Amino acid sequence: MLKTRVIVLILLGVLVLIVGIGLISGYNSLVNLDEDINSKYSQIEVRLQERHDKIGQIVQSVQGLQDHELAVYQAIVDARTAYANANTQDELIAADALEAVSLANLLVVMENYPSIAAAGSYYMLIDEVSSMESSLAVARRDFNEAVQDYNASVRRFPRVLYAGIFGFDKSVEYWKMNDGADEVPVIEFD
Amino acid sequence: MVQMKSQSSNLINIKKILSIYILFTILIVLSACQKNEYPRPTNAFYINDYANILYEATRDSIRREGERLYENTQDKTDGGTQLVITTFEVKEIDDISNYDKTDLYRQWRIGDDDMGVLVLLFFKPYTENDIEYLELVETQIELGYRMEQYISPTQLGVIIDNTLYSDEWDDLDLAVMNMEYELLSAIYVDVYNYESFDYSMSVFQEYLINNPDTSYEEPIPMSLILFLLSPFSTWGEKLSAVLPILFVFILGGGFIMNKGGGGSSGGAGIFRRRR
Repeated sequence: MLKTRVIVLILLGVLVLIVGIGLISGYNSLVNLDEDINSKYSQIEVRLQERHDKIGQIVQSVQGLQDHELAVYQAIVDARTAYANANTQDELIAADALEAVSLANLLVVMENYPSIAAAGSYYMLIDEVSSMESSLAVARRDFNEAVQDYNASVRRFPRVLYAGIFGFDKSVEYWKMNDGADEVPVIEFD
Repeated sequence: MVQMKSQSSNLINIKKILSIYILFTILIVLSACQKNEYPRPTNAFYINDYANILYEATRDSIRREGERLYENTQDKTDGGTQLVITTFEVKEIDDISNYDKTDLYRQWRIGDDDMGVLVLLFFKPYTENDIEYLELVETQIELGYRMEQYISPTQLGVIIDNTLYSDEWDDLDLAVMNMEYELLSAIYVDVYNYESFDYSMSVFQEYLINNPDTSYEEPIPMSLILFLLSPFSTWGEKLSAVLPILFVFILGGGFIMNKGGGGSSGGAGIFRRRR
């Protein structure tokens, strides 16, 4: 009788140990995945801030266009305002798309003015913009990959249980951009 | 009868183990193939001329300069910079989109602490008078995360325009080497506060003229491997072929084998296309 009780206790102890180790490792793994998303998100924020500042410099450097291309300028102003007022991820995504589109439109307009397009500074500007957009595209992709890893992980058994127990989000929203809004400009030479 | 049964069950077990082993091997090979979507860097690392368009003298100069830069900067703040140049041949310009400079940079892990520069040169074949040539159609440069704070895209653009796309050079090797020197100059001066980085294109031009070899030097020639595997050569002959190489390998510190410093990048850099 005593022997059976000891065996049952040992088995229970082993079971508790296995479940405990599983819980700790599952929790730590979810924390790592969650932190990865946070780090990738802050990378996007840094890149967006860089672009926001750069757009300000670009607008200042082509002041002369303002009188002729009012609509393009207004779009840039709106996009910058949307970015400045963005508080949630959805608002930030919308502002990101607006800035990308307004910047692309500005470059198209600038290309139509030979005096500006012929200047060396125009190509420097394109270099800066293409680098900026490329960095942003990579930051968005890294974030989405981190989200994909997290979302897949929390839906798998037994992590789906751990996520519920420890109060982790069941899924995190992807950074979705409209088609073409995150295209990287490429300079072409004759 | 019992012994026969046990032998046949042993055979079945061995077959099972073998089939599981083969399955695992195939899975491992397949997963490795899936991971390596880009070619591995060559042993020279600092120059990977997959388009096979540069002279050996140019490749050798780029490798030596790359090694020198890495050694010279390793002990400095934000040190261990690696400058890597790679050429690819593409059938059509659209095929360039199959290459992602950031993915390649991360896979090759260029530069210690993200201090690296990766230059990608894309070439497309064209035919003139029934002879096939390669022309440079696009240049891409990727900066490591930490390198971004030292070298701007504008600076990279100016370097590319004044070297690779300059009318000064009608020879690709000279243009590429000029770009390498100018990038080195930017790194030595702007990152590590050297007063200047001096180089002479005429010295390199002379070196190029005196070393017109275009062939790659394989660390282990294929002919040697075939010789070692051949049933027509004796063990004595095989040993006499291998021993001198081993001697050189041990005394000479081994074959050239450069590798990435573990760096990563975030997409900053430039794109230049020739219409």
